[in-house]
Amino acid sequence: MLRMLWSRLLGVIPLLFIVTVIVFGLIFLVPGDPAVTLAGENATEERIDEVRSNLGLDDPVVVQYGRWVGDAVQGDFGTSLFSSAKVTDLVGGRFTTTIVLTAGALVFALAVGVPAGVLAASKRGSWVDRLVTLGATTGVALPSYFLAMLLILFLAIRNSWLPATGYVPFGDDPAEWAKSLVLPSIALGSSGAAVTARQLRSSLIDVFAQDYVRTARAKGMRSHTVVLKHALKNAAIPVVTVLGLQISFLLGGTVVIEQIFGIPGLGQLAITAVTEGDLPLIQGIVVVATLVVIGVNLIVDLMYGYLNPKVRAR
Amino acid sequence: MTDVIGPETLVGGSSAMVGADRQLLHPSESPSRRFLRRFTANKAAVIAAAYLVVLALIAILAPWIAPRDPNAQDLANVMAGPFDGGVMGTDQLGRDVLSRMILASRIAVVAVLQAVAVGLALGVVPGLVAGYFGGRVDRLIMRVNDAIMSFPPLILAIAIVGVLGASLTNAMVAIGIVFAPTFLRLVRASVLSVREETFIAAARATGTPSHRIVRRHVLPNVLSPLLVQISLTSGFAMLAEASLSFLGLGVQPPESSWGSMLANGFRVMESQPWLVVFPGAAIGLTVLAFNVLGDGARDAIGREVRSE
Repeated sequence: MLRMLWSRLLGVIPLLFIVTVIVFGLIFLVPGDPAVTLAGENATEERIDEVRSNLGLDDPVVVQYGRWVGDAVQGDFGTSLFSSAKVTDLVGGRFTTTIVLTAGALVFALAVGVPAGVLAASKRGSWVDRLVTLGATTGVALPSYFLAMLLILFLAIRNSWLPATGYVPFGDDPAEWAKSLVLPSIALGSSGAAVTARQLRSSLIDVFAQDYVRTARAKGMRSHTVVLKHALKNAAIPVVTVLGLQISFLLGGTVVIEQIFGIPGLGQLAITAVTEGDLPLIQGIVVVATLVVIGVNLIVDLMYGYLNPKVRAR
Repeated sequence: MTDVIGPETLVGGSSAMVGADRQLLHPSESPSRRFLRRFTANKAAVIAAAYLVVLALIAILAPWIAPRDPNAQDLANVMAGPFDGGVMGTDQLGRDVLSRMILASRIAVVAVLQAVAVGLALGVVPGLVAGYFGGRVDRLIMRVNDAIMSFPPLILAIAIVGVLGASLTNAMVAIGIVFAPTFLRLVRASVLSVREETFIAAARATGTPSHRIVRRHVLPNVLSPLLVQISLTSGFAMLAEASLSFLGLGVQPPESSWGSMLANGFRVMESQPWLVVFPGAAIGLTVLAFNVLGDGARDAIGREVRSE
């Protein structure tokens, strides 16, 4: 298990190298002279020079990359072009909120998706199964922000059960904080729930056809013990894969969800950065979000080892 | 069923012919006919395909079938409900929602086509090269591919749009870049699975140049899984376009897409929820149609008949 951890960690190094090259390379997509474009319209000569020196644009590309990545490794993504604050501080202040929202969505996805998938697979062909399949198909297709609007309309405006928008920091009032995260988490996690239910249903159906499940049933083991103790662990492998991929989509989805619910997270910061053309800030956000995805995928890889001992040997 | 000696009589002429049996009975059935027979047996997929054809027709004919000028304001008649002023009512500026929805369908179709074209252009050739030649080239291409896949798609797309500038075309180029790795992986995997087939070895043995082997023998085998993926990706592209336009990073006013109409309606959702419901439902239905079509096509291509 430890050897597997090492080999996976080593594999991340070239991945990180390419990721940083791509993120650094974003500057070459800026149309025209980056300093002029990024300084904005009607910028003074001084402002353009300031942007140029902030980004170190006069140096050769390799030197620029080396300096950028060298700083980034130490957690320094430079200074915002507009607020003169450190990118790291701006991102750090928003990071936790987004992670909490993502985690909330993941919890919702699992809390709804797993029972739904198990029920549908156990009662295959019944009305429960059809209902779950229909719900899952719809859940994947509905945009999260449309669902968010419907939730706001029915649960916050028509019936004021939950706050419509706004975010209460945990330190101010834990109860209100939790309440303010309910609707965003549901909206963001619904497609994850749909995907989980669908994937778990089909992989459980495969597992139910296996000999060891039949043996367990034949020797008189209770149905839910068979499902929970034997089938679920093996059926979980494809589900874990899908959840690993979901993290990527959830982090992207936070951008829209944070905008709708007025949650001050990374996504909202990303929109500000993009509308202002704040390149260092954009780069910082992309790198941090990608690191989270890479980290989660590493954990997913290790979970395969736990779920399926055969993987460990490789 | 008397003296006709056909495949039926060979197997005993059972009247209850289903799925796999029929295939045995029609050994000469061409792959495209088999695909069509299986696909049309799937009602949901047929409905999805019909929906998308109608949508495409609406998009093509949009300027002629829109009942009113989609940008004409009628400030005396704002936020009217459905059937009060126009079939779908009017928005905050008194513009006819139905006409705007129809014109937006054109934006949606163009946007999806752009994203898929960019994704294919960036994904197919490297995928073919990686799969066919293998070795160092393959490893290099796949490393870069894995790196692009580890970016959260929407965040990468937003960053690219942020750098290129907000416009629908830039948004769709960004989404195309984000989806290219999926095409690349798929093409590579399909190439790997046909590369070792005898007919490829035979072509190689007779001295056929690589580019012709790829074009004549490999590419046709990659085509059907690719078509399935195109359908599924179109659904994602549709969602992504709506997201970016919703955020104001895609289509720019006065043009509108379903995503920007949704953003627009969100501001007045409390007093006129229909302004949110129509564009939201259009996005949802279209994405659903692409997904169902893709799933249906995949099942119809599959070698064995699937009941799931």
